[in-house]
Amino acid sequence: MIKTEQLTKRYQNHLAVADLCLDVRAGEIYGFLGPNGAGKTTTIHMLLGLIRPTSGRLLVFGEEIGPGDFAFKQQIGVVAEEPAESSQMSGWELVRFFARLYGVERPGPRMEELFHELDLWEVRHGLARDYSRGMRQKLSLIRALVHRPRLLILDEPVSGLDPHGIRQVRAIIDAYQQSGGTVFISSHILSEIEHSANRIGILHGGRLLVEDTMEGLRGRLARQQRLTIEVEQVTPALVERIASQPYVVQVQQEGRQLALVLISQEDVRARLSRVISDAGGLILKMQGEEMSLEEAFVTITSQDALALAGHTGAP
Amino acid sequence: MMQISTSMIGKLRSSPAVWALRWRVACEIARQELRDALYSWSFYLTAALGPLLSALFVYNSLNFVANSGLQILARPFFVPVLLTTTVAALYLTAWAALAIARPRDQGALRVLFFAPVDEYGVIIGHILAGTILYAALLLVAAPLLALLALLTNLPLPPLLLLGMVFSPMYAAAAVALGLWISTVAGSSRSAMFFFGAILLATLVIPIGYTALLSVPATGRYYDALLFLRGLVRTLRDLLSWISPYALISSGLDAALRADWGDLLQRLAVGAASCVGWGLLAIWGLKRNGVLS
Repeated sequence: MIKTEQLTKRYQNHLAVADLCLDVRAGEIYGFLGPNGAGKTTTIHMLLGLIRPTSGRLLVFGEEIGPGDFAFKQQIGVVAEEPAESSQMSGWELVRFFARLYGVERPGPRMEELFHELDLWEVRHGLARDYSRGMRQKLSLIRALVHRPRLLILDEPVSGLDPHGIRQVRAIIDAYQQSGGTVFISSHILSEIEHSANRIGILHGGRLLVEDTMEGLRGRLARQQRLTIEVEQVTPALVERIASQPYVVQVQQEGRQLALVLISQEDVRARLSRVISDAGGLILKMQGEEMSLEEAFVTITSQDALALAGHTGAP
Repeated sequence: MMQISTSMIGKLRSSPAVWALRWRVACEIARQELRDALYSWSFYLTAALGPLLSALFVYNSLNFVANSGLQILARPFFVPVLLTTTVAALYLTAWAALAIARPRDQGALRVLFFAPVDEYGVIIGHILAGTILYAALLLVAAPLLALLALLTNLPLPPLLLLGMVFSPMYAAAAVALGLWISTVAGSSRSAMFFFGAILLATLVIPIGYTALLSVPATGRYYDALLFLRGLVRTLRDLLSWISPYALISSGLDAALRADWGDLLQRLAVGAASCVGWGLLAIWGLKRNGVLS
């Protein structure tokens, strides 16, 4: 459905996206995950032809997208990160305007269905620019779905929504996928997409660190664990010695306590005890705890991410 | 609903299909822009301003006739019609100068480009909307001018009305000029500054030329201002062909003189100017993009 080959975008001295190789398959929900500034929105803008890639190839619906191509967007629905409406149109008129741009001749019944589903029916004649952020987000989703696209691109689709709105949007996305649609969701919050995404790609610093199924990703991330060690005296040499261990991703010191993030499939506590003893440290307490998927994702994208990419064998 | 298969995407790259899509987009954008403009107070203010200025001018002319005892007033409605058409064209240039820059500032242009639209469809749609708005302004003004003619018993020549009928061609060029300003400006504020600067240049050059004519030569055999005079005259001549406002004036004049050759020439220049500025606007939009 979407395929990118060595897609790169460079802005003078800043590399926004580097050698990105994505493969979004038909009928799946693909979660495009990464912290703010990772290059997600830049990638989406390149997919839509809003900015031109510096290099690389981009294929949508199996056809290469070149400069000036725009007809392919008839089969795509897009929800922007910050929905902006500035015209004098009501919510209803705005969606009808876009429906006409997409070539929908009688959009009324579909619009009615979507406005009801997202609780905007009562306010449909209000000015779209006066809607709250959450309402504008829902309106963007209606606009994106009115022409029954084959591919739905969502950039942070639930930002600004209350919990009820989040549930409504998730239900619509799930129903859309079940009807055969393909969804490409970009988010910086794993929990937003972990329930619905079939596969996930994690982007960091413009590079794709991991691309895997949700189960595969859970397996990779589950190798991470948090360990809290209390020692009699913490010295810089001890911290340095611990941090130099290959299975230690992160060390944080707080008084006599050391909070470690480890990545290993084995139990490394005995090895770590020896390292501390060899460095002259005396362990008072050692406590391990499992990391949530969210915590593990944050660790991946904030600490030593590229090293982890090498470790996991990601492209 | 139009369903498109993957193989159709390849087909849509072919020129007629792409142009059909662009035309549909242009019509939708034009319809939307017309609707938005008709909801704004500035349209009605402009519709009122042209006839108001015309009425003031005619009133002033009649006063002059009464005070001076002048028996013949040549082309009494030429300047009022010129004022009305120029005010409308200036309004639409300013409108066009904001048409791309403002939604780009607000992020709405990016959202528009999520749909199957491209630079051609957007620019053509705006030129279409601007030209129709100009025609609407003239439709409001023409009966008021006729009423003014009736009240003052001054002749409103049919040839001048014919000149007005053709003037949307020059207005289209003015709209395209505004769109070019809008696409190359970094923001809506700089677009308005740019528009102001262009407007100033179109005023300063003819006024400067007239002012230079009134300055005598600096010596019997030598004129230190000769080069400057030549330069300003060349600029003025150039402006009379490329400025849409100058085209409105010369086009009305040609119609009133029933000089059909000159009128056709002016119309052709107006059309070429519209295409030229339109292509530059498309280039500007492609170059600067749709993101703020």
